[in-house]
Amino acid sequence: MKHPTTIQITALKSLILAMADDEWMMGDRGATWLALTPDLEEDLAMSSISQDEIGHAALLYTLLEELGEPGADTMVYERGPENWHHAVIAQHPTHSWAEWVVRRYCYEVFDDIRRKALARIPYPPLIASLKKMDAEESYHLLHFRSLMSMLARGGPLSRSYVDTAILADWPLLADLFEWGGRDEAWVLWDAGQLAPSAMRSAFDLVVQRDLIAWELEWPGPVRVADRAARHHDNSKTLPELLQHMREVRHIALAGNW
Amino acid sequence: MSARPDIPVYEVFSQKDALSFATHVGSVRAPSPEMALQLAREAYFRRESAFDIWVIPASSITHGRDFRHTLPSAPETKAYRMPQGYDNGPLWKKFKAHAQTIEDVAKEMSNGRSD
Repeated sequence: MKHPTTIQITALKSLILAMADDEWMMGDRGATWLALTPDLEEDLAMSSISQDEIGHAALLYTLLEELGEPGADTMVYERGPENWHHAVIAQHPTHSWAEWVVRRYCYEVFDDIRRKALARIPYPPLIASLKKMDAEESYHLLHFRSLMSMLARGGPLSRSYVDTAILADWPLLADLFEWGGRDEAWVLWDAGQLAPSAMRSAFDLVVQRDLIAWELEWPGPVRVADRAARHHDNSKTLPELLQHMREVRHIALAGNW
Repeated sequence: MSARPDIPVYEVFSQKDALSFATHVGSVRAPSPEMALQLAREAYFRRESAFDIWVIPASSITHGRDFRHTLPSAPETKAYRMPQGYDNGPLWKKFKAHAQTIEDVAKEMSNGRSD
């Protein structure tokens, strides 16, 4: 794709934006666990993982800037809620450690599938960015898989926490697999992996296998998202979340942070 | 630190490259060796890389302090093992200054040291 057409650029932007916003939100939510994880070692690991996610978001916002979008700071600190396209699960409040582990495990499995799908798009800057992320992301997946396995095998109490968390999160997973833009966004490239249905079945396969190995109940395939997937125009919680996220920054908007 | 036998302490060592010695960098608590590696990576190697990382259950380490007689004695009593124990410098100087043969030096040494 040496000279992408306008249609291709628009499509590319919507694919990258969905991922950038997911990574940002996951990093931001992860940061709220600081000093609250079960032990000091996990605290260090979690804050490092959250920094990784925010770094990946920054990398992707830079790609968008190269494609003509505003810079990362504007995207994060000034964009209205209607222009964010993360999946609902990425901004959803967490009620327990088990819920956070289940959510992150699902997200990392999905993110792995999505990165591989995106790598099919012949846009070198995107491929280079994905490569940078891979080393860190494969650690994230490994780590959350280990935490899942520990919780699943940690006795009846921790197991019950995981069971509850899986049931709570399952209905929220649907819009992860959508792209936020128009359908042509992914149809443009000869990469079947980019199709939401393909990503969904790849996800179901991996997760079902893992849960069976941990002797956890698999709640069945993830449901198909509705048309409003990755759109937050009517969200009641997002404006509040964004305001909270920008609170410090907005003390001195014109300041040089 | 409270005793948590289910979450033992692992000592963490790192090797910078294939030829360097493993150096102790700290310790982590973890429920399994693999988790210890994962946590050590984030606790001690966030900004640098390593050729290899070792984690060893602290309980597997046998301490010399628990077997005092095995601990090495203070080094000052072993001065004779230090290179300074043999003061050959002046003899060499003499050898060079007087164009002595090696036999002369040997003779001199057998007559007792003289500087």
